[in-house]
Amino acid sequence: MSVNEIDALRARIADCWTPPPGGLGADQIVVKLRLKLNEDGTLVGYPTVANSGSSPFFQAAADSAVRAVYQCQPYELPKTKYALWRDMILNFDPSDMYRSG
Amino acid sequence: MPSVMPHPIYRQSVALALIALLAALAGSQPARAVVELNITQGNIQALPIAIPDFAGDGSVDPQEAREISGVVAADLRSSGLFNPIDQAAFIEKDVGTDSVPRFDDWRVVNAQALVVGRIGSSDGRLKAEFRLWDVLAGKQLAGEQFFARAKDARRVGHIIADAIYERITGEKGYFDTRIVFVDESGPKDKRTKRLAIMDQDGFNVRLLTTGQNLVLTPRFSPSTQDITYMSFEGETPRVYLLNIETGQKEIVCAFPGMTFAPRFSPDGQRIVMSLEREGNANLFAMDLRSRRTLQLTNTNAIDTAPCYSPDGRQIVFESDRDGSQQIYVMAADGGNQHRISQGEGSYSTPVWSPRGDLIAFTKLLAGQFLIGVMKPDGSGERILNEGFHNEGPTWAPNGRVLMFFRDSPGAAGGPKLYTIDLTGYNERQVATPAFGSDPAWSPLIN
Repeated sequence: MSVNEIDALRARIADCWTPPPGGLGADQIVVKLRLKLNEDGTLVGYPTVANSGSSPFFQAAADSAVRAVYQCQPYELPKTKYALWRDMILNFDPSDMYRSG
Repeated sequence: MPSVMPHPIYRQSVALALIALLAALAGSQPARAVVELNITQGNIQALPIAIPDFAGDGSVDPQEAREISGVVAADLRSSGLFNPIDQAAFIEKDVGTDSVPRFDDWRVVNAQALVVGRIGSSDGRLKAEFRLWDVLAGKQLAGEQFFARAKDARRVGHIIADAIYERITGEKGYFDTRIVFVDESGPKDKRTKRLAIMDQDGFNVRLLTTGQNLVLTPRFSPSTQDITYMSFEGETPRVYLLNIETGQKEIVCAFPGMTFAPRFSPDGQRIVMSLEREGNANLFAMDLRSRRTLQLTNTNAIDTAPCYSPDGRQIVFESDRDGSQQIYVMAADGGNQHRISQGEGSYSTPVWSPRGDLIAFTKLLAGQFLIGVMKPDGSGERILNEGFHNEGPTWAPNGRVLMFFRDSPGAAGGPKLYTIDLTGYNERQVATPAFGSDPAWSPLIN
C-alpha cells in the first residue's frame, strides 16, 4: 500500500479515536488491536485486543480503541490491494497527545 | 525467501510490517500481508453519553427518580469528559434496567454510552439500580444495585456518576464528595466569614459557624467527619477541631502562641500546623490521641502551609528561610528539609496530590497569581492558569481536578470558587450562596 493510503487510513482512525483521559501512567498504555476487514471495508466480527496490561487504565484504553475502530467503519481502501489490508494490527499509543508534565 | 520485518523508525511515522512469503514456484499460496500501523493521534473530546430519566418503580415519586438521573448527567457534564445528549433526540423510550436496549436507536443519535436506571423504595430506604451500556459494541460495561438513606437521594446520583466515570476513564471518581470553605458575605471592607460545607456540586450548603469570629483554612479529616480550622475567637488565634455531625468543637492545642494552617495526616491520627512565636513560625505535629507534639522545623523564618504526602511519610510546606516564599519537602519527622521550587517568582500554599505524583501550588510572578503543579522533586513545573488573584488549590480525591478561589477586583468584587482539570482545560465556577474562599475537598464519602 502506498504511503498516502496508509496516512489516509491512520487519519481516519485518529478522527474516530477518543483516548481515555490521562491518569497516572495512562499515557504509557499501548493497546494492540487485531482486526479483519471485508472487501467492502466493514469489520469481520470484533477486533481482538492482542495485548494486555495490569494497569486499571488498560481496560478503558482498550475500550476506547475498539470503539474507535468500530465507529470508523466502513474503511475506504483500494479493493485491488485487499490482500494487503484485510488483516491488520493497530497500535494505539496516546503518549504524544498528553501535555508534558 | 527470507521474511522482511522493518522496524518503526520514529513514533510519528507509519510502521509497516509486511510478512511476505513469496514462493518462487507457481501454484503456491498468494502472499499474506499483515499491515501494522501506529495510531498516535486522536481527539480529546467529551464522550457522547445518553442518560434517559431514571424510572421510578411505583414506590417513589417519578420526580425523585428524575432528579437522580439529573445529578448523574450534571456531574458527568461538569467533568468536561462527557457530553450528555439532549433527551429530545432519543428514539427508544422507556428502556428499562431489565431489558437490553435497542442499540441501533442509540447509535443513530450518536451515543457511545447509555445509562439506564431505576429508583425504588424499600423499608424507608432508597433502592437504586443502574446499567451502563457500550452502545457501539452492544455490551454492558457496568451494573449495580445498592441502597441509601432516603435523605441521600442526591448522593445516589453522585455514586452512580462515580461508577460511570471510573468505568469509562479508568480514573477514580470524585463526585460523592464535599467541600468545606469560608463563606464570605457583606461589604468588602466588613466581610462576615463563616465556615460552610456543601456537596461538590454546590448543593446542600450548611453554615458551621456564626461569623462572629474570623475563620480561615478549614480542612477535612480523612474520615470526613471532622474539620480542622483556624479561628480568631478568644485571646489568641488558634487551631480548632469541629465534628460536623455533633457540632462539638475543641481547641487542638493550647500553645502559648498563634497556631494556624492546620492539616490532618492521611491516617487522621495527627494534625500538622504552624506555631508563631516572636515573629517566627515553625511547624509542629500533634498526635490527636496522646496530645504529644513534635517540633518539625526550627528556623528564624515563617514556615507554614504544611501538607502530608498521601503515604504520610513526607510533608510539603512553604518557607521564606531563603529570603522569599518557596516550597520545601521534608520527612514526616522533620528530617531532610530541602527546597523543591526552582522557578522565578515566589511560591505558596503547596498541596500534595492524593495520587502522590504532583504538588499543586500558588505562584506569584510579575504581579500575577497563578495555579500550577510540579513533581515532588520540583521538576516538571506546569502552570494551569493565571489571572487576578488565583489562590489556594485543593485536590479532588482522584488527583485529577483542582479547586481554587479567585478574587475579582472592585468594590463589588469578591472571591469565588473554581474547578479546573489537571490538563488546564474545563475551568468552571462553583456555585456558592455568596462569595467563597479557602476551599478544601473531602475524600470520597462512599
